[in-house]
Amino acid sequence: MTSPAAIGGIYETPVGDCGGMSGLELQALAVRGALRDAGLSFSDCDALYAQAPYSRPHAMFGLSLAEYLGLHCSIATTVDTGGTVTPMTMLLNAMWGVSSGLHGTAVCVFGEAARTGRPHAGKGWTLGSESLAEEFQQPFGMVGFIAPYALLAQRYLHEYDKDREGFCAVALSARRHANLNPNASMHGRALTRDDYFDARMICDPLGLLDCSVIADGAGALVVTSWERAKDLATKPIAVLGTGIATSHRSYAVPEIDQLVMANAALRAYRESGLSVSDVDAIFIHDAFTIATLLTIEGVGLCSPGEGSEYALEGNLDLGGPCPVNVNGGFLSQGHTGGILHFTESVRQLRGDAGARQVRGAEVVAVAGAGGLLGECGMMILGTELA
Amino acid sequence: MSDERPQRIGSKPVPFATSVTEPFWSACQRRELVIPECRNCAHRFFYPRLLCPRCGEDMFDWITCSGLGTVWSTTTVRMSFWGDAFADDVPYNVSWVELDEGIKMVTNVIGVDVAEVRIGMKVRVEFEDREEFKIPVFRPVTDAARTSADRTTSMVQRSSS
Repeated sequence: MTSPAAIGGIYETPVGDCGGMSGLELQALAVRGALRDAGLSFSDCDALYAQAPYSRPHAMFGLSLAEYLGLHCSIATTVDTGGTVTPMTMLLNAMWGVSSGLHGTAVCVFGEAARTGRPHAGKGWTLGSESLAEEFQQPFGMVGFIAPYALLAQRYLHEYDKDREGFCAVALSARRHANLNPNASMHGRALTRDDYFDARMICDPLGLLDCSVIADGAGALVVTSWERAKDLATKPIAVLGTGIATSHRSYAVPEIDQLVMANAALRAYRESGLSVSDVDAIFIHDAFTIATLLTIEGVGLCSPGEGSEYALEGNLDLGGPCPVNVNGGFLSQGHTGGILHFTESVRQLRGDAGARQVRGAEVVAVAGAGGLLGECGMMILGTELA
Repeated sequence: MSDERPQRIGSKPVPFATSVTEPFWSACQRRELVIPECRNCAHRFFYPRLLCPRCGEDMFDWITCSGLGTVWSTTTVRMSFWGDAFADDVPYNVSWVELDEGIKMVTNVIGVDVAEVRIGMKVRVEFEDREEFKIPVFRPVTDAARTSADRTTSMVQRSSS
């Protein structure tokens, strides 16, 4: 890119119970907050990249949000790549838009009101919009996300001859981190190994505490030119490298060793010129505990099949070689689609994360997936331009 | 608050077929399990779709499967995620079964306690009534029964798409 872009302001709404506000209302708050964080106002926002809340499907959502905020943009659009790869794609698009001159300063935003603001009381994560090949899945009671993730988890345990201890280690680490984050749904609620194993089973081998916390909450990030970002109220953050790879959308998963997180990571390392040992902290799409194990293996923090041991040795925790989800993750902060992994990455790189600050963090990665790890992505952020 | 409102989902989901996928469900009515096999590259794939996901060809044959397969992964679902539609079924089994013909499909293993279903278990298709449809589910088979079934279905049958 001839004219590099940077991430400027960020904002995170309260996460957990937002008292019945809709996803759109929460996203509106997040956009304003991110602009103010950067010292900007609505009139500075020339592009909007948003995603409609899954809990409340909404056509032309980006345009709806722009109108709601009174914005007149060079583009207002909806991005729906999947999971944490959605905000990653928003940031890529915003950077390209800024660099090419398509638009000026942009805001990337996502928020859900899945806990108190959705129109029905569906349990778990039954999506309102159509998914691929439902005809060959739903009649068998394969609905929502827990059953397919459970099948993946069961296969993982079978292939590598493991038990649920590794999952437990992931859940406990996420909770310890949530207790360092006042804006985590589960802040102030300690979790023990006994709690984990006593919790009811939902879809074997996934119990209640293997599942992320359904939450309300939104986050937003400002993207502008590197030159402009240097003049903002906040420290500019650079994207050093990104890799994305797809394999499947429906529940037709490949073999465990054919999942594409490793492909995405390889591309991100190649673009950034960095390796896994350069990453000071990582944020993972931990919709379920199994996703953390598969992701740490995919990005190379440990070898395939060794995620359980890696987690049980305490390597995920703050103070470890590369702390994982020090914000508490979806498992204990709340599942808001991955946008808060990016706001938290920026906060860590600013050195602004309080009790959960990773000391000396200069390179932070987000490794996320959409669907059943069918679209994987890794984005590496830093404090200096590459 | 919103927990008091009912989810807008009533009865159990039934297949919503397209003109491309309809032959699969018609075969189920005849108690036959069929899958597409590409006429160009012989790739067998599932779910049925218009274009071969390996070569892009749009001509395929429906081949009739032996109905035998192996559990590739399995779970016990312990709550109803589809309103109350599955409330009477929980705990129920959901599995990926890998057919002897090489494709994986989502299904239910029935006729055995949910706790007994294991990866690697040999299973055979049968068809369960659901409204006007027949749904292909699988029941564990013994090795002896499987050998006998293998003999009677050794030839793959074909019909055009």
